Amino acid sequence: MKKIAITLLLAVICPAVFGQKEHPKAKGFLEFLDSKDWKINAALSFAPGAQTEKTYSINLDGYAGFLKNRIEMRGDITYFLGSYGDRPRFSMNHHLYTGAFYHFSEKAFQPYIGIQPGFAVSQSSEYGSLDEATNTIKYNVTVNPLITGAVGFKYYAPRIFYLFAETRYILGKHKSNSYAVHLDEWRAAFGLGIYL
Amino acid sequence: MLLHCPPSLSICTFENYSLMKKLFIAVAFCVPLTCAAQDDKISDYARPGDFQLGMRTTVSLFGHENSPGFGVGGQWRIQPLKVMNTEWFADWITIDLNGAGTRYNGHIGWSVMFYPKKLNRFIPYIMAGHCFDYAKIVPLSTQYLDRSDEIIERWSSAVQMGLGAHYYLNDRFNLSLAAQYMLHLSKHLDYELTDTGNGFYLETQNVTPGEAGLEGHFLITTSLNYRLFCTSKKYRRTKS
Repeated sequence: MKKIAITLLLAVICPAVFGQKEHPKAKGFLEFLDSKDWKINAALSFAPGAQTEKTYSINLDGYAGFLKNRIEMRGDITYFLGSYGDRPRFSMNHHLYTGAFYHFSEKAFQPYIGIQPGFAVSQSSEYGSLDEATNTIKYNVTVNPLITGAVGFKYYAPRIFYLFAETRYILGKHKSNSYAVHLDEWRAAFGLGIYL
Repeated sequence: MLLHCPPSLSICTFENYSLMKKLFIAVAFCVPLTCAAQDDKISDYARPGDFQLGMRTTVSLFGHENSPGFGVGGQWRIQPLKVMNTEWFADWITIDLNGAGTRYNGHIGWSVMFYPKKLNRFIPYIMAGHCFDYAKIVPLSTQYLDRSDEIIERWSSAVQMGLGAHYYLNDRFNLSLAAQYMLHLSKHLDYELTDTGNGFYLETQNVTPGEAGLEGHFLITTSLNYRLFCTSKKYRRTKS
């Protein structure tokens, strides 16, 4: 009876013990992740924005960056989902930025500051122009330069994931064949990112 | 180089414009070369073979109109020599013409940068180059008035020259600031901004052509650049 009990116990324990053994390939990859002195960060989040005249926008923001020696080169794409408030002024306001960030720490909690030039692909919903050929009002989509400054922080988990929150100010002007409209906006973003 | 200068240089005066021009060209070529000869050590920054990629923000000042322009662009750099780098760029600049219209400027071109002296992370440079320039003037249209047939545009060629500096934040990454004057070499666009008392009006059609001459503007460019790789095995960093 005792022998049967020991055999059963071993039968349960042994697979559990062997099951914990890491696959050699996975171990090698994790060692590689821990040994390198750079990181690739990527995240996707919602980015609400605040414009003048009590108007708010909602955007989808995605970015990828390469971090080494506290300097991160990062590219962002934001997709305009819509706006509401007293004066929604754009029917399209997608952005693309590329720039650099400085991380103040190399520990798990890393505050950072950055600057990114970029451009907006924008369309006013307010100011159109008459098209005499078709006798309709046209709202031209134009490409407009932007500059943006951002501050925020990242909190890195031991592996793979990080938490981030940041705010940025966007400076620019939508120009087309009709009246110019400021693109200036405060935006915030927070969420979970992944790093390698 | 001075041996090749004409003997009359010793008696050159401000009245003698052609001699002054020759002297300027001689100095412009001599300064980078003589300074370059002093730099024998290989700096950790800006090595031959370095290939960099970057984004830039440009402010355009003192052009045809008094309004400043703001633009964005990108560039890549490939460095052929210790004291010389090349930059290949494209810019898109928009200028609000006092609410009466918009001017668009596109530049695509190249510049050569001479490094007279590398001060560790800080590297000042003299730059000169050439670009192709696209300009378009779009008068303001409204919901009641279509002025799209009054849009004027042209392609031209331009040369630019100026001063700048890199600051290397680490051996891969640098921040650059440059100020250049860009001179357009072909016919400029004729348009007039008139203050009507109730805002500005942009006239592009019935404009008296101005004096024939060269049109130019001042450009201040800030760029962020990242060294992706070094094409020269000899100058490659062992760490990277």
